[in-house]
Amino acid sequence: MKTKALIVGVCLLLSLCVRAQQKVTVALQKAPAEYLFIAIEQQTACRIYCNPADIDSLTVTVQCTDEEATKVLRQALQGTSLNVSAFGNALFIAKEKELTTSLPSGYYHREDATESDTIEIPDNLLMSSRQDRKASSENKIYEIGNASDPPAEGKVTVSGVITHFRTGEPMTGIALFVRELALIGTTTDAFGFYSIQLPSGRQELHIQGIGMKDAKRQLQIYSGGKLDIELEEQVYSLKEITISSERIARVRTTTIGMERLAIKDMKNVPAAFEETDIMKIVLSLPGVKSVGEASGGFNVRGGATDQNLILFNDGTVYNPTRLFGFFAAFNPDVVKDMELYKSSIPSKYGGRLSSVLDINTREGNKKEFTGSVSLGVLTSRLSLEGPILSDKTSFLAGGRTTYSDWILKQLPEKSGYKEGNAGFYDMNLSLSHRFDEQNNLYLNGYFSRDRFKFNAWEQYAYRNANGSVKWRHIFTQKLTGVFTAGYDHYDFHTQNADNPAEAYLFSFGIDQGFGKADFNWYAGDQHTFDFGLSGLYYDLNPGSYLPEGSQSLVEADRMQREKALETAIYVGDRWDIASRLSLNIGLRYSLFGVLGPRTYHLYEEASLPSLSTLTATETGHGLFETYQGPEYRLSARYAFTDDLSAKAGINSMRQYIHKLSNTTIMSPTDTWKLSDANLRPQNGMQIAAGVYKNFAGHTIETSVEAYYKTMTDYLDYRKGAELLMNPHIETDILPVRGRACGVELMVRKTQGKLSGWASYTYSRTQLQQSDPRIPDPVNDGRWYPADFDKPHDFKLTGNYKFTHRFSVSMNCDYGTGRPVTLPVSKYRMAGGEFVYYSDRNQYRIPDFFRIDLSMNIEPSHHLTLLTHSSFSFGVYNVTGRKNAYSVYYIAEEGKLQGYRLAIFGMPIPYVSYNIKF
Amino acid sequence: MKKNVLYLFVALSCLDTFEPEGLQTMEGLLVVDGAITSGVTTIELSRTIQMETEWYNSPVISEADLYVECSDGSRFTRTTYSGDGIYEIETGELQPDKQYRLHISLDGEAYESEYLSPLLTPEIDSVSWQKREPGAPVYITVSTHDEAGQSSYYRWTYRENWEFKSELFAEYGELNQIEMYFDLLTPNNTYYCWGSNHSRSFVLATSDKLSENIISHKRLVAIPPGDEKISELYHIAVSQYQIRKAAYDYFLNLQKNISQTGSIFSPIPSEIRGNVHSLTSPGAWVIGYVEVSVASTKEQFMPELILAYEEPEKTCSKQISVSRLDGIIYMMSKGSQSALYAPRRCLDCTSRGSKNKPSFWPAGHL
Repeated sequence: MKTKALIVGVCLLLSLCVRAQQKVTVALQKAPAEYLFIAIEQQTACRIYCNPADIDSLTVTVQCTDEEATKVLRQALQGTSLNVSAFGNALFIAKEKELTTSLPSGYYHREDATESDTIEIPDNLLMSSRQDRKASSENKIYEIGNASDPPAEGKVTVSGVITHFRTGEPMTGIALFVRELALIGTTTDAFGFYSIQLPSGRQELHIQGIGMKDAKRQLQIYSGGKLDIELEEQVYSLKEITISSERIARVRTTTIGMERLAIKDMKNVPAAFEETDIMKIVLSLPGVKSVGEASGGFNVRGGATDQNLILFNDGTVYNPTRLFGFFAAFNPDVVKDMELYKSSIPSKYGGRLSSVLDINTREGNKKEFTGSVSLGVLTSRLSLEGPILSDKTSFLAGGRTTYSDWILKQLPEKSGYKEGNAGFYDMNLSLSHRFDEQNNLYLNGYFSRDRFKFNAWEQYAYRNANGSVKWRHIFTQKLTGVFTAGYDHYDFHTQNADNPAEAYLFSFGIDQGFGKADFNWYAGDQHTFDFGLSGLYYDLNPGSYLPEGSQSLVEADRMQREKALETAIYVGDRWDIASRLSLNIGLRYSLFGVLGPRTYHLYEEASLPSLSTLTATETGHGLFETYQGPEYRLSARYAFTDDLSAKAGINSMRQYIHKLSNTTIMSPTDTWKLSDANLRPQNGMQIAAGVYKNFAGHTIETSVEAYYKTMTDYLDYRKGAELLMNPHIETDILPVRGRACGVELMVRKTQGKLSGWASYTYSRTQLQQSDPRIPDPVNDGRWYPADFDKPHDFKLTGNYKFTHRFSVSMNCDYGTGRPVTLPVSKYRMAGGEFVYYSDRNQYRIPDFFRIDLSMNIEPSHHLTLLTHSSFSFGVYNVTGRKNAYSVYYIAEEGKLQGYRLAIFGMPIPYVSYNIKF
Repeated sequence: MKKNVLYLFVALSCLDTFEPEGLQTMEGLLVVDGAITSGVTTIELSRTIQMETEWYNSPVISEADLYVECSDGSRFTRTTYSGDGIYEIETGELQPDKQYRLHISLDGEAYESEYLSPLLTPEIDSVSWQKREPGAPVYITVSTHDEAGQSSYYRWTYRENWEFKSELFAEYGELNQIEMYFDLLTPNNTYYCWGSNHSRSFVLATSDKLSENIISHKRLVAIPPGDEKISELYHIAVSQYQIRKAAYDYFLNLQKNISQTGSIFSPIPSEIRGNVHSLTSPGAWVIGYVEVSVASTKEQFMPELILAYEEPEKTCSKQISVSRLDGIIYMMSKGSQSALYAPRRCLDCTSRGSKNKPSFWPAGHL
């Protein structure tokens, strides 16, 4: 297919050639075919186009005098698989298929299109093998609606699906707009579906998407109708084709604080360990922080690590990292794109305070079988995709595994971990089926398992499993519905048999089932409604502690399971009040019900729950405790011009599930807890505003966003809290409130040899134990900085293409050192040295600075090759700076010593090799 | 588990010693270390010092007035100061049905611990050792059980003594700054030495997750297999205290604050209040938890540890030289003929131990 695309490109340039002398005289005996082509080009005005690979070592014998060049060529190539097609002065030599170069019959007979002043390249030149008529040509005029209908008043709806020209995959986030009608535009949804309101008559519709060739379609609109569009990928070797992204969309949408990245944009970002790591790329975005390298979680605009909803094909992922944060949980070969909502969270999402990270896998190639293999030092990946039923059903399967045992083998002899091993694997399977134009079905499955074992006695493992089925139905051109049902599972266990008498197996698990219905209604000129409802049923095993082995004296202990139902209804309206002013009004109402049977304690109101203030123990049945409340999602955009806009918004969120962890980061042994009779949901509110300006023909995007955020009932822990196997956890936690504010500046260049983004953030995040019932509040009840409070933060991610196949990428990260708690005094006790801590987070570790570089060699675009391989080589932390992860004191043999721990305190080189077939 | 994860990272990462600058520090909090027990209660008083201060500059509290008070109103006031901030109070036999507390008067301030009834610690069942495989450390372990089951929390302290000898015998050398001929029949030699050590942190355990109140093979000491501690004869004296959950939580938190901070999965350090409070300045922070518990002790020689000893390669015989090296005055022989010299570590055990042979030591040599 790509060959044809190339030819079309060339055709456009040459189609205006003047018809001239076409006769040739040639005498060749078993000569390379090229000689004949040269002879023809010399003697005539014809140009011959072919794929050199096709004529490699092909010889011809020709004897002719003053004959038609086309005829001569056809004779010479008789008996080969090559066919000759003529179009003007251009002669195309292609394998097997003869290109049709005549215009489609009936084209000039259509009355409405005769004045077309552009040169028509017929549809079937591209699509000769396809039955479906899809809009794939730039200069052809597409009629929408019925010409015999009376001309529509005002605007009409045009909808359709945008798919990938080569794979048939639906394209998300593609912007469609009409340049002359300032600010009329839309973007495609996750299914490639769009619906746009256009005035009737002749319109030029522009289509732009990340990594896709800019396209436009000439429309003659009579009444509402359907137009499916196939988009071409940008092809590196043609100069006139440009890359663009949703650069217009950024200025145009009403959304504040949203980042969308396609996997293609992520591939060139240098990674620590050879693999495109979605979690690390998330960390390179403004407003996203972490306490340090190799820490599993991330903090968005001052939120805690458990306040991010991570969705992978609609399933919730509770542990997004592999192997202690070395890798992300997501196989980059199957991921299509990710969206991170930091501020304006669409009303269809809920349940977490700070952000939504929505990661989707691709749909399998509907046209041909393809696959890729990636080999690295630590991991290998394989993915396969292709049609099951041509054009109707496709599959995409991916797998990944590691062989990281060698890391443990690097450990010093005396560490005693030589017997250790660690590893993970994960698998993805996606099926999509198109019943008809109105009905599509999607099945997604994901399973992963991590294990590590440091010695023969101690092991640890966790699993993620997600499965979902999704049915998308187009009721009418204006109303579509998506119905999803799924099941998510997460569990981990730790096993320790070091002392046989105390050998145990601890396990924790979350099971959840969900169902939701989401509708999208393009209600006329000014309103686009989103509405729906969802239900999520939780079933948690908060912990079980069981004896392991026959000698174990451990008493089997199982915490009672926690069950709850979280339901929500929502409605959102995108209201285009005027062409320059748009509003997004969303309301979500969520209701969380705690389900019995479960026993719970009651405590005195006047003091914090503790075993001494316990007043009664009760058993709840059915829905014995509920929390409910509205969540507001409001944002507005005013566009001054088509490249300058200002936005403002306010959001409120509620969160009913909480991570129990008194460590600064996401640890693999963290457990989760549902709100219950003694644990209120967390509430959050964010106000944000921003100004967005594009420069240089939308190729440089800039933005400034500011936010202020408050959080209540954020969890902190009492001194010496016991978080595991604690049946009255409410006596070990504390409610904390938080506030965060910040300004994020971002410049992004999406086009040209140099692309990438740079951002600077100034932000503060503070917490306070303000509840008067707390006897010894941290820092005497004053505001104190959160662990990830890093005021200055500069990030740069860039890629420079020297040629179309060779590029260099750089990643640069600077941040203020995070606050840590250091002792203020020391003393001797019990024969050793000890320390005394006072205020929390009053010392800052040295500033963080890191540069990563990588070199990428893209595959050859030689289309006849069976496989395409790419290669990348990079170095993480080129300068080898020993960035402190923490600074602390520990006592060894009773002697205190201060230490500085750097996680990756040296340059780490990596190599990876990727084969596509 | 969390600790192990740290080690994995340490292998890939860099751990440098580091002294933070510009640290806001403080000093002067009262530290009370000790437990009220039957017989003689030993309490050590000290004050916290600034992080950057050297220990030899720390003040010694020698002027305090201490007594133990019983809930029946009686006071144990026979207190002697034995130096280094250590006070000994004769408390006699503690009565299980009474409660006891410590009272301290110091610099015009008064401090008191919480009234607690004595816990009657069960006997130590055994002190033994284990070694999993060649190359693995030798662990000295303690086991106990309590059928009465007053508390399932325990704390141990220990003192270890061992004998070892230098690799080669010197006939002549320096001992106590005097050059002399050595003699194995008197303490005038550098061949036999004794070492000692004591617990330097809180050794704690609980059986609260077990079906019975049994502590099985709790590790007290880890000894590398090539450590000369176990090359000749090893002795350990273990004191066991049953403690309350509050004391356990308090001591465990102190222990975590100096052993599990700063790593990737470390909890955020915090301070818990002990059970000693100021009567004169309510709210002032006092460090320490004065438990009331009747200790049980067990001590034993462990000659069988020689079986677990993995002697490091002996290199001294290769380093014997006829020429005197700089600063070395130890000689293997000093006759009329040529003397033989060897490095000090081969001939002088006093650099790693002392000539103070414990009075209870069974060996005849000195």
